[in-house]
Amino acid sequence: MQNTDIKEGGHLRQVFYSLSLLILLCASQLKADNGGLQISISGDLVGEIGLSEDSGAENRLEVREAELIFYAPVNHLFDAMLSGAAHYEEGSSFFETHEAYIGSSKLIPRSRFKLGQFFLGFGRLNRIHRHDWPFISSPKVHEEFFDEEGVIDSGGEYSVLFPTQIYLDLTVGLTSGYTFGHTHNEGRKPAVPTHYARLATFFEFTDQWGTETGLNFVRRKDGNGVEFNIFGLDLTSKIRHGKTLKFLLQSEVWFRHLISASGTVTESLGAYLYPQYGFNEWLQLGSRFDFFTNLNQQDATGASEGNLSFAWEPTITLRSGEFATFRAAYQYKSEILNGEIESAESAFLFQAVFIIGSHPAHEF
Amino acid sequence: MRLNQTFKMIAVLNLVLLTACGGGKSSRSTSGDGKNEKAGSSSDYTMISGEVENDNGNLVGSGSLVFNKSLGSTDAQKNFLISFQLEEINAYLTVHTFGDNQLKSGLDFEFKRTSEDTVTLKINGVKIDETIKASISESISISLDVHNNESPAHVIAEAGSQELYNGTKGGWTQGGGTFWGLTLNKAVVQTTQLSDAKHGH
Repeated sequence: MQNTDIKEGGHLRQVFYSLSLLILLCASQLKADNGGLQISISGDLVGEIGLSEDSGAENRLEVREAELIFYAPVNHLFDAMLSGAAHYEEGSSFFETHEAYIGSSKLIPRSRFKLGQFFLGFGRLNRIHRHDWPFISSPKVHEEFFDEEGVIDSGGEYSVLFPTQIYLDLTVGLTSGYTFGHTHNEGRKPAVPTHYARLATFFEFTDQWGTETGLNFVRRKDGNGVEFNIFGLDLTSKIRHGKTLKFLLQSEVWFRHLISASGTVTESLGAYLYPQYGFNEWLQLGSRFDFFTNLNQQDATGASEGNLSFAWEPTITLRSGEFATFRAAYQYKSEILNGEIESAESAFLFQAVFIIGSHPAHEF
Repeated sequence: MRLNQTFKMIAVLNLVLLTACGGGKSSRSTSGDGKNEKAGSSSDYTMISGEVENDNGNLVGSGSLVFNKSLGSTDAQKNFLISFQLEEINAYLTVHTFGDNQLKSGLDFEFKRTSEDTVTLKINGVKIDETIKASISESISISLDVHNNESPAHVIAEAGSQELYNGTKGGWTQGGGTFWGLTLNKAVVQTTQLSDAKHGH
């Protein structure tokens, strides 16, 4: 299986590199055209050192992700994006197509849509490439429900901005749902494909202070009968003083009702909270708090098991302009069962992110 | 002014937590009865059938038992590390993962001694080509990484440094429960350990 993956990865890599070369050769000509092809190359290097005995930290620096993004208007109506990323996994870098879609914000009034493969447009982190996250690691709830990076799938997504006095933006999506989150295979035809919705609003309290929040819903039933309904709330609040992000508060709360193929129900609730203070344009200090629990967990005798996963990750960020970022963080993770700490570990994390070329506009 | 207060609050909270979280027990083991110690040293399991005795910390005999502590969720990935001995031909040990509290509807790994120097593996009844070379007097250490959050489930079975199976080609249906346990048939189980998946993403 692994050999097949590597062969497929190698073939894809050849195709992708050939395509990249071709596009790079054409890029200078296209660049002359205002609004022509834009190219972005990013590297995400992450290191971790275990600080506690028996820590799961790898104690090394690795290229977590190297990404190539090409995007441009196709014509006066459509835009398109193609991105591919190599991920480090088990000693090898696996190349995969991240996003390949065509879309438009000009065809239907007040609407945007895209068709192809993309990060599904729900929540906060799932809509943003990992190298643009404000912290290094994945929050526990995101990792449990959507995997370390996020959910990519192929299908269609439509967003409409309602003509109301308050800002109200609805996104709905339907994707093939053969897989959901991380997988090493092509998946299987689902009983109910992945479908999702996000209703978002935005409050501008002052010229410098804005807050975006969204209500989310995701559902899927796979080919084996495993079914889930996920509900969530995301919130991002920013205060800017000129170019300085003076304060950031980012949070997501998610609840999942999961039914296994044999009918076992697991209800899980998780959240993270990340407040960050900006001293100036290039130095920020923040701290993330993660909480996760299985609400109806029982032991084999049927007795209730109180459980909580807690993590804490204070992070310091150094930026040199928009396209070079360095982070260092202390990470503490613990598992609490029936009021007692079952396990605890701590690690030091380091991250360096660079972006070469242009970069698509960031989400708020 | 408010922002400065907010920053101070973050800084103070960080300092408090840094002090509070600096020590503590340190282990990768998570819930479940898996401990990196003698399998029979804990009484935190329930017998389902047969008779399994605790012989100086080893589990010995023929029967099925389920570890009381839950794996948490069916949508999880875990590592099961077990050392055992099969001292007779046709003796076997089955490791049940992600089953219900009767060890049904899960992913099962059966290790069976088929000759004096060979132990075979079946996953959910499907025989795996790779075999373990181990004499009757030898202790066998196996590691089972079960990624039950993938569909089909992704399974990595290893004996020491030997990879027995790695993949999803069996089309393994995800285990439908949140418990794990053992079925012994003239087997001796020396140690068990449950932890987060070793081959993470």
